[in-house]
Amino acid sequence: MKKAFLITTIMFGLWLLSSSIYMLAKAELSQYFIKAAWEKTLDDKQNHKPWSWADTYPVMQLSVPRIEKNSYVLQGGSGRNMAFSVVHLAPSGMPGNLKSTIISGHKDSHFEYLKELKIGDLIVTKDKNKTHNYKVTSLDIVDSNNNSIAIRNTNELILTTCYPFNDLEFRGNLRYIVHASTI
Amino acid sequence: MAEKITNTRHIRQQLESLHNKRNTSNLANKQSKKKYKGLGLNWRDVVILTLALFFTGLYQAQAKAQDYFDLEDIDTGMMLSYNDESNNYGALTLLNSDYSINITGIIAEVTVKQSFQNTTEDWIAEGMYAFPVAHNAAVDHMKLIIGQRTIEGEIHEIKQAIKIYETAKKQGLTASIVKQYRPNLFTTEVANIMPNEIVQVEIRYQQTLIYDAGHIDFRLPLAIKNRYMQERYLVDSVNNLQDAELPVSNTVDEKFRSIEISLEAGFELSELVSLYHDVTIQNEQIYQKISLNDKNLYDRNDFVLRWTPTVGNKPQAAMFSEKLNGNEYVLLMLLPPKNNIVNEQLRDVVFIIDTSGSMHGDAMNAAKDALLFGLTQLNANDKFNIIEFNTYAQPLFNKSANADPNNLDKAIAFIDDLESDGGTNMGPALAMAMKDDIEQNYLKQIIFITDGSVGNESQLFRQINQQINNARLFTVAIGEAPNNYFMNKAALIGKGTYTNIAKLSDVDFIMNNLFVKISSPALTEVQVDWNTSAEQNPKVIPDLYSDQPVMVTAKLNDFNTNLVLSGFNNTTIFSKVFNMNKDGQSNGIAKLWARNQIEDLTDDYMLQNDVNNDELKQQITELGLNYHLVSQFTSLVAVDKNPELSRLVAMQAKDENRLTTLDQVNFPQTALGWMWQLILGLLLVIFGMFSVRKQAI
Repeated sequence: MKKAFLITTIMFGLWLLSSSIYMLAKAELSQYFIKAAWEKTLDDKQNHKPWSWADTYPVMQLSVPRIEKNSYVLQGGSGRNMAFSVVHLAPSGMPGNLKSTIISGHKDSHFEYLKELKIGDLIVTKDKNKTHNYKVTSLDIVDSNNNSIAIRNTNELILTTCYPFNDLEFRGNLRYIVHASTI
Repeated sequence: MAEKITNTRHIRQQLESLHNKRNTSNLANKQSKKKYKGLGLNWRDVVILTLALFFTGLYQAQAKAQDYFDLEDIDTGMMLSYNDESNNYGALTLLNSDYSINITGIIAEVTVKQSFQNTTEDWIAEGMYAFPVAHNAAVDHMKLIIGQRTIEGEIHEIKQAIKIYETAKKQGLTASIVKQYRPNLFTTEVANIMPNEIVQVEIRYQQTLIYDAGHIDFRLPLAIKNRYMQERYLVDSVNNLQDAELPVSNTVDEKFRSIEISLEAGFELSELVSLYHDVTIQNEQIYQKISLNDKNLYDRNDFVLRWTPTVGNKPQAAMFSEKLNGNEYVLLMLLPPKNNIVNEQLRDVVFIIDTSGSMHGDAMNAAKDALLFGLTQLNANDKFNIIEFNTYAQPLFNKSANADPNNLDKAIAFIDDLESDGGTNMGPALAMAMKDDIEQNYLKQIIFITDGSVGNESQLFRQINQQINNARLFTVAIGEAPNNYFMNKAALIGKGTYTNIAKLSDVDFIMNNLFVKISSPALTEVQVDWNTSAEQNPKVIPDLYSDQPVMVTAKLNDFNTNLVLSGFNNTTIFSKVFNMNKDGQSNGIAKLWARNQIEDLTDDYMLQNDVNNDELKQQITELGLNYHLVSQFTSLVAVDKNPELSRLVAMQAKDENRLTTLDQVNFPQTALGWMWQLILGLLLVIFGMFSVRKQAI
């Protein structure tokens, strides 16, 4: 009886282990497929799914030259998409338009590097047509229970992720929000 | 409602505040969009703060991006826009100015109408109209028209006024209690001015003009600092360039500036001129119509109209009247003769000098100087006495003595020995001075020199009122901060005048003026027989001296009466009969009378501690409401006549704003949680393995 309990514990532990590794692997490996799809998009200006059963496609590339980070942004802010990469929230605008562009990602995978951003940092977005440059203007921490993200009539880039970065907690209500304005 | 996070505050600070919030309760997180709101201030407070900063010299404002705008430079009517991002003021473009002025005697009622345009492509969220008014002016009417909105000043009882103001503020509307940021600057606020929108302002104020050296000046503030005008509108006012290019006006009236004055001087005039502007003067019976010829919008000079009543060797009197709501309001004005003849009036001059401890030092020396100077001004056949007082009163002579060399020597020795020490007990000294021991044909003049630190004002006023008889009390305050109220009122009750010597170096000059003046009153024992029931103000009419006119106002119930003004010019009787039914067309007299009444009642109110306070308060309030006047208990509140429209405009303003929230999205859940799973998984496996091994052993 006791043995059965222990085996269950070990099995559960192994499951947790493998699922976390799976999550990481998925997040990591999917990047190659997304990158490939994005390169095709840049090539033929068409949207391409990274894999045949995906319901999303890469819409832009995001890079922070100073810390040499790079992300492929998937269209649509679903949790499933976020497991593969950072995402562009559907109601928000696209770079270059007079409407805030909002990109969200996980604090413990693709958007971990947000913690390294500083005010004044250059962020470059590249969609299938054009590159846009933004400069970080503010770094804020807000309570998502009381706040939402404002989409405004201005050409700005908003990056969000969870906060705090190095914390086991993953359902917290704090958010880290980066505002960058066009330059 | 979600809040935008635009502040760039230190992360640590934000974390701490969030931490506190999470620990206490989930109170709504109200992050302000403006930093100053975090301090619990609204923008008006900010304006005041900004002004305060400015006055301490830390603040400089900017106008229209290229010019620095300075609030101290408001020398003419201006509409300003407040930029909350840069904390600066900009000036709106002036389109036209119309001034309409009614002058009655030395009372001017000025109506200013100005239009301004927001020539920028931006909304102005916060605007302010500012107009420089004279110290003694009272604004009683104010109206702003912005598109279809009208904001009008209304007189309300003060509690009501505050309620209206608070309600409007709660509803997010603009309302402002009209106030003066500095004593001579009138300001009122206006919110949400559209791009290219025109704002029309109308204000009205009443002002008493200054009579100086025989002439009266009316001044209208027009001069604008050169740096606030566009170069092409700069017109040399002397040359009056006719082809000056003026801004295109959208208003119907093509005149850019007009000044129309209706002058009822009350006296024949020997001179009537505009000092800096070209005007047309028309004579119409008892009026003079003065209108400005040039229409230049911007000016380097104020408009100054100067007139000189023809006066001979006798005092002159004029009467003005206004019919209003079944009453006749009368203003009587007495003008001193130009060259006052040397008075044969015999005088008994009693000096009272304050030698209390508070006078110690420079003040005491100045008072002694004043006293010595006073002695030199006496004629040989005058009588005089000196009373010093601190805790006790001590006279030089038991009874006023002749101003002969022997007595003057005694006086000088007495003055030399004066030392300041002890308390300030004015009562006994005043009683001694006012003692009714005047000899036939002598006029007793009491010159009361003190630093004016008193506490028992009402008691002293009562005493003066009871004991003054035929004497005159002239108060002279030494020092920069005397009790002006006491000194003024005491002189008023004592039918004398009040003089302040603020700078000790001015003692001789000021005392000389005082003595020249009081040595020859032009008219004494002035009385008016109204021949009907009348509420007269002031109740006791002062003597007429060479330096200023005397004015008496009254409210009468009867229109058809003859009134008789009388007094003594030296020893001869002066009298003048006025026929009341002659006009009744003057303006602003009812208001002037009410203003004077309010002033008197407010004085009484201040003096009384408990008795009849409610009655006085009610009287003051009623006067304020009936005559549309600001008082201690009534206030001018700017009321929005179309609040719904204003709200709409405010909303549009928000939409037009470059940074507006179009939409809101919730924050997505942005943590995979792999770390948690990895660590827990590892722990479970290790624990399981360990237990299995232990069991196996």
